Amino acid sequence: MDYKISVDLLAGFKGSGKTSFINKLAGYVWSKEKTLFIQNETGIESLSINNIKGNWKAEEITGGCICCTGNAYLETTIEKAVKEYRPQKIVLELAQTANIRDVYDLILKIKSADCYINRLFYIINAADFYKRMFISEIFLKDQLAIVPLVVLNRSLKLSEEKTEEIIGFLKSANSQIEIVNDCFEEPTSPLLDKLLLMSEFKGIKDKKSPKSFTNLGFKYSDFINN
Amino acid sequence: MGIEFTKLAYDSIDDFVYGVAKKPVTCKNGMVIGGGTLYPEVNFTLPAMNATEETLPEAKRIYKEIIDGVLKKAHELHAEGLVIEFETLPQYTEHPEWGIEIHKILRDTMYEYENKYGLKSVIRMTPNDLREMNRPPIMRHGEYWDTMVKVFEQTAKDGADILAVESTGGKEINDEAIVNADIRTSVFALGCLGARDMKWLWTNISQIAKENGAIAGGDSSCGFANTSMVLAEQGFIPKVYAATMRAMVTPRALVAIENGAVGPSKDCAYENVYLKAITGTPIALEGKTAACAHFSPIGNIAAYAADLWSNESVQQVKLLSGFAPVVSTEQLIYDCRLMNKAAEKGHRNLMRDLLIESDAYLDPQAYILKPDVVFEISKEIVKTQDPFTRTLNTGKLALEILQRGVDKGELKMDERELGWLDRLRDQLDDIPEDEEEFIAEMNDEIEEGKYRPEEYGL
Repeated sequence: MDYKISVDLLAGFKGSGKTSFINKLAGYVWSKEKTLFIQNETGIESLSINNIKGNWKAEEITGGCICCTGNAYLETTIEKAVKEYRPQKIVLELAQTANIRDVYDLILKIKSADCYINRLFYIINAADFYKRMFISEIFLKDQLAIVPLVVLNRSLKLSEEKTEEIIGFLKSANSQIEIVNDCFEEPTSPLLDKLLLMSEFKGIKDKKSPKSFTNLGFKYSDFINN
Repeated sequence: MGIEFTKLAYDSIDDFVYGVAKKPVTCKNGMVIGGGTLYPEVNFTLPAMNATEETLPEAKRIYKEIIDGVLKKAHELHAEGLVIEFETLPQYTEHPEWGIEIHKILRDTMYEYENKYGLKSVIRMTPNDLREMNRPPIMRHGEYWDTMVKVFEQTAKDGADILAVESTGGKEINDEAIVNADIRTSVFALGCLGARDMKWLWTNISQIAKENGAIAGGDSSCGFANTSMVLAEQGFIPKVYAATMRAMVTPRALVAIENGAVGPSKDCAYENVYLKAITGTPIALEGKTAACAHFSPIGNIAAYAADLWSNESVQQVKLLSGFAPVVSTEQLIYDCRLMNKAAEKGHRNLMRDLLIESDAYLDPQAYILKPDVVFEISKEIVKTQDPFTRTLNTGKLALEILQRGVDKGELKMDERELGWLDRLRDQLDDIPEDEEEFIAEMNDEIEEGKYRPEEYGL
């Protein structure tokens, strides 16, 4: 099919800063093409991308149960928007319960255009990390295995030691993962280049399943106390 | 004032089996659900497509194609009878005339097959609970409730046998609770909010059913317990939380039957085993043959007390053999045939026990459905009539039983899950026994504007 759409995904738990990240980067990254922003989860912050010049549109998906991640709604929303709006780029902010693997399959199934995942940003709120790992370790580990880039948000609220510990955990889930601290108001040119390069999605090639975080010698009491 | 349940409907676990309910339900065409025969319940939906006025003709064509295929297969396989569930897409409840039209297509085709071939079938009409589309939800009035009523009323007039819904009262609070494995907030959502909504909702649905010649079937805690189960399967939350939720949703679900529902309650309500134990009403359930819709750790055990055996839902897509709803129909009919044959040969209890034993000890969500566990928890539930106290005590007892299972070496659980037994128990122990005190505490904790207290009668 001649009509191709590149898709940038933003994944992460609610409150991790996905929307803030989009708002910060939109003018730099997503202003050159006709872009469709799709928000599949509403958190504290709303999409505020009026700083983008050029042609863009935003859609919000509010339907669907959190366990289904609104997949059916996501698919029909994309098909409809592609037919009506004909974007060159889709920026998709996923629901926190969305499984990137399922979304990957869904994107490839889109009939109205030849869609492919271009970039994948996984946003983590460092201040919330231990709690999320305690609750959702298996899910998080599974997702991190296929994520090229983690944007570590709010790491300034933690000590350098704790931040290093979190980075250690992330690397244990995926030794090839790149990690960037989201401590910028506006991205510098070198940082932007780095973000765009590191977030390129290289497909789902499952590496050997990493050890459980707990099997690395950390006890749950370590997590609870954090 | 509704019905009060102060003891179990069953004296012995030996009588607690599939296909037989203490209070069977007789449908207009003579089919008896819970009267000795296990029937399949087939649910289907459209392939991924936009549901608009423009696509309605195509949707109607597809539904006709589905029902023709399903009934033809049922007839070919000599099914004794079956239940068809029409669970609408939200748009088909939002535009009630669309849902009503499609229901008529299904219903008329079912009548044709009954008249021509003697194939008995009944239809369960399940519109969407649109009330949650307002944020925060408006539960007791408004355009969304009005459209739901229109669908219930007109489809009942057009021949819908059973009215059902997957209601969402309390879900606006519970969704956040689930992703944070926050069982304290779940107690509030279920025991304080959800139960109040169920009383209002089922008083109304029962009245609609009575006035229009239908059966007030039942509800489901799909958005509470099944959501927990599905997320637990993905490793998003602990399985122990999901297992505890499964038991804890029962007091909320029971309110439907206390206020007019007579069964069969909805297929995705795995807590139905608790409801049957307490009330004796027939129940629908789903398990391995619902893998087309979602995975679960309770594929076999879910069947042991079912009076209807369901596939949950499947899209009209072509598989290697044929269209998926027809495939599901075949699978369900074979399952029911096997289980009915076992019953006929005097081996109903053996079949039941095999279904239980094959799953029970491999996952806490299966363990919590064992009949002895169900009876123990159900007896606790009927000790009081207050849904909040019931919900709280059910949670505590469920955790105690899971711990007991681990201590006895019966229940396999990894270290990660074990830690959650204590953590959830601590959360529940912190909840005051006085409901008013608890509601006041929760109102301080919950973000303002998340729910409308007046819509729950608070």
